[in-house]
Amino acid sequence: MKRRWLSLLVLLPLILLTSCWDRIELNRLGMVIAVAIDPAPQGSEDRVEVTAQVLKPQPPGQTAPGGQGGGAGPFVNIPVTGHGSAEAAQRVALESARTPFYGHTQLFILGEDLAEWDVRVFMERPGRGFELRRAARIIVARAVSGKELLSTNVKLADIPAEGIIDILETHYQTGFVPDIRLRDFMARLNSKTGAAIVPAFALVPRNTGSGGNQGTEMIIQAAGTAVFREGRLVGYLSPRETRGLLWEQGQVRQTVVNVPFPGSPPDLIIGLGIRRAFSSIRMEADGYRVRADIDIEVRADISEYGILRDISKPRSFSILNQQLSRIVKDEVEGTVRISQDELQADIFNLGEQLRRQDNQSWQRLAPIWDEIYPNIEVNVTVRSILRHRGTIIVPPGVMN
Amino acid sequence: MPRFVTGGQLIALVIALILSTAALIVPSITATMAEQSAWLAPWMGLPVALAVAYAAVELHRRYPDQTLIEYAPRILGKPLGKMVGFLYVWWFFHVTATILQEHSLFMDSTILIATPGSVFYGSLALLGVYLLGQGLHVLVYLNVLMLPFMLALLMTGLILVSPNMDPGNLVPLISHGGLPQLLVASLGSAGWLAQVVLVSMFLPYVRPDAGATRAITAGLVITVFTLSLVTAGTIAVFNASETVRLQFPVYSLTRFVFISEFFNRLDALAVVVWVAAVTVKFGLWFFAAVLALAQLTGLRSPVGLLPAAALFVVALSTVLYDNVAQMTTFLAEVMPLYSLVVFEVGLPALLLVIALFQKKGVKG
Repeated sequence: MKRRWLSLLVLLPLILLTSCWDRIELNRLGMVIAVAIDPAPQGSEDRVEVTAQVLKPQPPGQTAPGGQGGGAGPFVNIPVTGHGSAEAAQRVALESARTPFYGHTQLFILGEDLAEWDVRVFMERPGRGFELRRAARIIVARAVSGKELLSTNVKLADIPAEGIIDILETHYQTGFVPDIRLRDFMARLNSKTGAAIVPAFALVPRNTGSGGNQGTEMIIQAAGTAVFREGRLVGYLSPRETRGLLWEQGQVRQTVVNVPFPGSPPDLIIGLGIRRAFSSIRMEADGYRVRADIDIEVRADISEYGILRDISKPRSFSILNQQLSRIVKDEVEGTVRISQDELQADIFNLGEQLRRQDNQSWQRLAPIWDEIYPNIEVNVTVRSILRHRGTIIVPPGVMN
Repeated sequence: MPRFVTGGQLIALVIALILSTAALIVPSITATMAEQSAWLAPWMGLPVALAVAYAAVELHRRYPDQTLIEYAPRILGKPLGKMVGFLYVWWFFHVTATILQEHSLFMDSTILIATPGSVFYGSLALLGVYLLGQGLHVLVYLNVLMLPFMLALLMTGLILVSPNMDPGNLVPLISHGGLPQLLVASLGSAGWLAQVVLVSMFLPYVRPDAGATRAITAGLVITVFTLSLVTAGTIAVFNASETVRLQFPVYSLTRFVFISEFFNRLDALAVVVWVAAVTVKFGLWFFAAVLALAQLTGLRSPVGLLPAAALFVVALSTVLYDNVAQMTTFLAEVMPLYSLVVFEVGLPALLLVIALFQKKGVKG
């Protein structure tokens, strides 16, 4: 009995003393919220330039409005070079008073110039390191460097990276930007058949002020989708073409589609608000001929009557359903054509669908998918369900 | 059958089985025909509804323990009576499905726009199964609890919006040469008010000392008064021409409440009233439909039918109405006549006349 009590006495402190012996206190950590990778500047002997956006803790009430790239804002950008991203990440620590911590990194930016190389080389490190999470978002900086993107203010956001993430989150709903995390990107890089897609962001000039104090400012804007084949950037989809892709993925929510009404002037259109889209894909392979049947169901309602006539009757709803179906079908087919003819990249991931549905054919066709994909016969059918028209029936001054 | 419904409960029941959906869309439908006189339409529909109610009470007096479905075969003979019963089962289910979809479309169009419609009709159907599984008395008591609050909230809303009313919008009482249109609108109103025919499914539950005739009359008058007031209020605030354009006039009316800077945005209140009211209305019609089906097929208790019937009603409501245009057009152009001619006036009148000649049943 005595021994038991004694052993308990020895064990008890063990519980109290558990802790991380190499712990770093919170106030010694620098939270890296975003990382951008670009090619190293010319003349440097290193290969890549890594820009870490680190949160700068500020006492409450002292947040300065809108800092300029490491200036007054609640963040600093630390650009360093290195032969690989691991080495560069190490050098971030050398320049910062706080140990950089990547556990909360939410955004991963690939500079366009880097993306023209084989990005698989650079995606090695983020997966291997234990800190970075695969739920982090990835984007491509289109026509600019990732460093420039991270140095540009986003309206109403204190930190550029958070601003970009907010824009992304709003945009996922519209269907103009795909929702891609590191996990998705890796999965597509691994795929024998599928091409990887990544949202692209660009800087565009916009006029500000009026009269005497006119000027331009650069604003960050979603700029379609970057398409990678075997780790190399092969091209971009425009935002509209991206929506054609995302209808098929069932990712579109809350977007407005403009629909002309037959017999009305073409500039008068009806805005249909999309609520949800669903899709299902059936793959069939016969020898070297592959067929894909894509069924899409779109649920929508009337957001705006752009024409002054009575379209309150059920017949108008069926006409609008037809129109919407046709427009969605055109968008999807347009993107299919681009992916088959121009990009020759399986962005729709039809190969993966074939793997799941007809594994035998897939095993036969996967090695020559590059030749198969451009010749796949894709049939798109769209069913549109318009449900309601909000709280009024007809436009002002139009009697029903 | 336990006869537990008192006179007061019967008044509330009559109001609940008509008012909610009639107040949702109908003011704009009647205003389409009768313009600023639309508020007169419910009053002109009242005599029709009263006649229907008295017919139901008269038939009830002859067959005190039976519902419409049960005494129809006794009056018309078995094959014909069962056929009439079957028609009524269909109509009850039709109206029930319409109520479900009205609820779903209203919620989707106004405050919960991103929620799939299935959430609304699904939850309402589930609630109906649960409530009725507990017995009709739960629904009746629930109605007595909620209805006074609902009416009080509705009246409060009307009073609060009254500073924004322009009584001039209600003039002239009847447009020059507008009497025919007013009569058409009254027919529409009558179609809704005569839904009171449903009491013939509930009368066997009413206590003999409840004073059914008086209670039903009181219920109908309160319903008509409320409908008329709501219609007049909407027209006074928005003018008839704008009322016509409104999909949900009373909802829009509550959105127009603003008293000084701080007292506004009462639309949530309107939705609270609607959800409470539509729950009871759905429950009553659903109960009638299931009870009728059970009695038609000779089942002793309708409770076992509830889940399957709920599934059927949900499926029916999605099959019947794809969108709000189909529903509104059906409610405006088909429903009043279809209901009025066949189920609310036609068949009850037929039953009553034959019963009078047969002199069957208990003499009253």
